[in-house]
Amino acid sequence: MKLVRRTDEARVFLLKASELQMLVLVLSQFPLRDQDQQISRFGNDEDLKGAQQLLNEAMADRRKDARRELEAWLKSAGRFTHTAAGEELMVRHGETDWLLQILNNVRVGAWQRLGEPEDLPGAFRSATPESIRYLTVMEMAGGLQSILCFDEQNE
Amino acid sequence: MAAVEEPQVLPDTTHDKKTKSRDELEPGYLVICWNDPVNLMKFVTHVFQTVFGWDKQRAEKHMVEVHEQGKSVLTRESLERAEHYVHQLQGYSLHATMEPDK
Repeated sequence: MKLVRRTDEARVFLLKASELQMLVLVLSQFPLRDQDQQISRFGNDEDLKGAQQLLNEAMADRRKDARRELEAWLKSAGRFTHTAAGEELMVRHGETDWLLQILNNVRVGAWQRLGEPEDLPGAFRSATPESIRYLTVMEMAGGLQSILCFDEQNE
Repeated sequence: MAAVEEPQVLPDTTHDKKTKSRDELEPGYLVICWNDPVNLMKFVTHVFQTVFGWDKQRAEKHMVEVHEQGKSVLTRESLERAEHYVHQLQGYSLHATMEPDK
């Protein structure tokens, strides 16, 4: 996946067939992380538990909405264009942060399902048939994030 | 034009010897970001730029601090603003907390 052009409105990336498959696979995992936020008020009473539960419910609703948004985004007109060189993906400037959050949700969610290993290289070395799925998804999501961030931070 | 009369009661000019600073009235809260093994350095830089509106250099400085020292104090704010930032950072899946600035 590489940047092929940038306009005032968007950036266009060229993806090989395998990269397109990777993108679709990673995005199909969203949302993979269950809980994003914690109540930050100090204290330790039942009110905080209730507030946390409300926040969790609100976040779950938000993730459902985000899933619908993502599906609509993938299907939107002009999102993908088939060319002789491969598939072109158009990402509007205002969509970059949102897409990075989606990818990070998948990356962090996969890491959580692996048991939140501190030693990621070690997790690869001791991969099992069960864990390899999440390790692969985590790495693919990170790879896509790096491309989006690299180009953005070098503009 | 009517003459302006001098006021009979002059303003009180005594000074309060002890005043309270803004910090005494409203203790500040530190917003802290903690290191983790999963969030990419470039992504963390992006988040700091987005959430705080920092330039790349400043965002990278704090990102490196998180990476090398395990944490970075990102800002000192009122309770509400600190909570706002913590929630924003957590929304990006970063490990962020707040604590009173002692």
